[in-house]
Amino acid sequence: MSIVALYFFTVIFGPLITPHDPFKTNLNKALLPPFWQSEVSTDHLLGTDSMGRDILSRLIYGARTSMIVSLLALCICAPMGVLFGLISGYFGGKVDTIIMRFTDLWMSMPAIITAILMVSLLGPSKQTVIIVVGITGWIHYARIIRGEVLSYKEREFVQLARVTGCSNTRIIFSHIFPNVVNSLIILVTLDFGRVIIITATLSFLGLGIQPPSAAWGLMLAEGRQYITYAWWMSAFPGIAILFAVLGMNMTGDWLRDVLDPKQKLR
Amino acid sequence: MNTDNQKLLELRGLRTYFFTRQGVVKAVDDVSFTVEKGEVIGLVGESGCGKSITSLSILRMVPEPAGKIVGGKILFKNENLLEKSEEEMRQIRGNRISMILQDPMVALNQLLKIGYQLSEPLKYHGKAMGQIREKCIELLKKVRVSSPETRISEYPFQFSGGMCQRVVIGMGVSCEPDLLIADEPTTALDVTIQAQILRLLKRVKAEFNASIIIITHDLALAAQICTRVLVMYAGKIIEKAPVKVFYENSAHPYSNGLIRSVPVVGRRVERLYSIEGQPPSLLNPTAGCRFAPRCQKAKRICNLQYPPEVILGDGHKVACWLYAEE
Repeated sequence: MSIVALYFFTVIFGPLITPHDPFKTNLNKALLPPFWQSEVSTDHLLGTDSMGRDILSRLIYGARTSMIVSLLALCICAPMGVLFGLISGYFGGKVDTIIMRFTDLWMSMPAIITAILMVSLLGPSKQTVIIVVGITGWIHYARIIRGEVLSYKEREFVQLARVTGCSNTRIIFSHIFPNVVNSLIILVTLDFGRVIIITATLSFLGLGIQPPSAAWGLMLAEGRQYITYAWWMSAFPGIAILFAVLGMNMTGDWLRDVLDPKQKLR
Repeated sequence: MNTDNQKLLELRGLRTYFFTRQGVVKAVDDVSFTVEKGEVIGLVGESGCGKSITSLSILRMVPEPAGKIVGGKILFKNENLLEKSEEEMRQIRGNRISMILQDPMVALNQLLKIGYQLSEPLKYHGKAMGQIREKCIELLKKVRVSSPETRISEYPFQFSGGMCQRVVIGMGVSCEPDLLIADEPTTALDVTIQAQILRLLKRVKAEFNASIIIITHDLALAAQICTRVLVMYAGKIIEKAPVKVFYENSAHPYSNGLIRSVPVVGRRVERLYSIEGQPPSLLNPTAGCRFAPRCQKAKRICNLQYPPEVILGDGHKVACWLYAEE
């Protein structure tokens, strides 16, 4: 939780706390080690990269990038998955079969390969990453929401709603949807970590966010060729990714325990 | 006296079958009856005899694709409901015909406020635009929920079972329906609450001049509120009688058995009467009377041919070979 809180804090107040301009290059100060190894200066807490840019500042800006990209991607995949899940679960029959076989098909291809394919078709940019990550992620939502809907649609309150003459759309959105919101919140939090990793991977492969923007995956990739003598260039972004994902997953678990007492008992 | 305009609902030879992997289950098999205006019909029978499916059929809500209404007519105000489109049916459900379900605690959506749920049929059927809140409060008053102004913004889990059932009844009558189907409205409630709910139903009936079909297996309940009783067994209606006639002079051996198996306070018996055997499977039922295998008075013909409906008196009909000419 505190990791996530810290993460959100840096995202929101990023520009206020960065010690240096993350985009300012200074070749005289290139490849400075972090402060505890540095004899020259302790000005750059986590050292500098090959262009002399401050790593800490870039990490903080990178957090913003990854957060914005992830959030927007989730804004695409969550509603999409929920919509398909609701439709598939509620109507059943042929609609269900078509949607579910499609998700099977989609799942049989590794998400990252689909993503790489799509990026190479659309051309790498921030928008592409958002769209691609969004589109590859919806199936999980669709499957889980469908399962939930299946269990709710046989419940009596749905029958009562039908008896009172509610239309299907109304039953789906005002009666079933509120019941799956809990699961949705948990799913989104748990999915956040996955989205961060995919975004970072794409950036790492040069298919995502383009330099000179600051993004964790990109920094990791830039540091790769200097790894033998400037480990800090890729180590810190790596640690940042690790903790962001770990934090999100732990928050997701915690949320699940809080929101869904039934699962705790199992 | 039975002119056509007094008939509110008429079922003619209704058949609802379920198509399962094991075969066709004839849950409702050739059921016919009429409901007149202002009548309270008790549909009694044991579990699984097709009572609920009959009522769901009237609203065209048989769970598909397994279940299907395969034959018959459901005439509501002289219009066949089976010929209506889904859209037209939605206009009827909750508006002209509404239903009260068995367990009120699960019938209400736990996540939505009482007021919201209560207002749904009103909104949906275009009644009481703009003054929905007032109308809901009025409804809650009518179903005797105390302090409706605050109750309206509470959630179902804050209500007791009896209270929930009052709300469900309120929803049921909100559009002043012509027909109210109550599917075991008191089964899930305490005995003390049962009496209150029954009284409420009676009052509601008087106030809205609605007809009620009560589905129950509780004969005492049926005796208290109904004007006529229909006994259902294994998908068929075997006896129709005015309530007094039914309790004093029931004709079908199954009805007799049902009445005898109700304990009476003050009468000591060694062992409560029970009807031997199990109700038959509705999968491939026999050609004869379905009660025959359990009937102590069964004759040879009972197992061979289904008995015709015999008229015994005013409004008293029975399907049994004991009263019919072979």
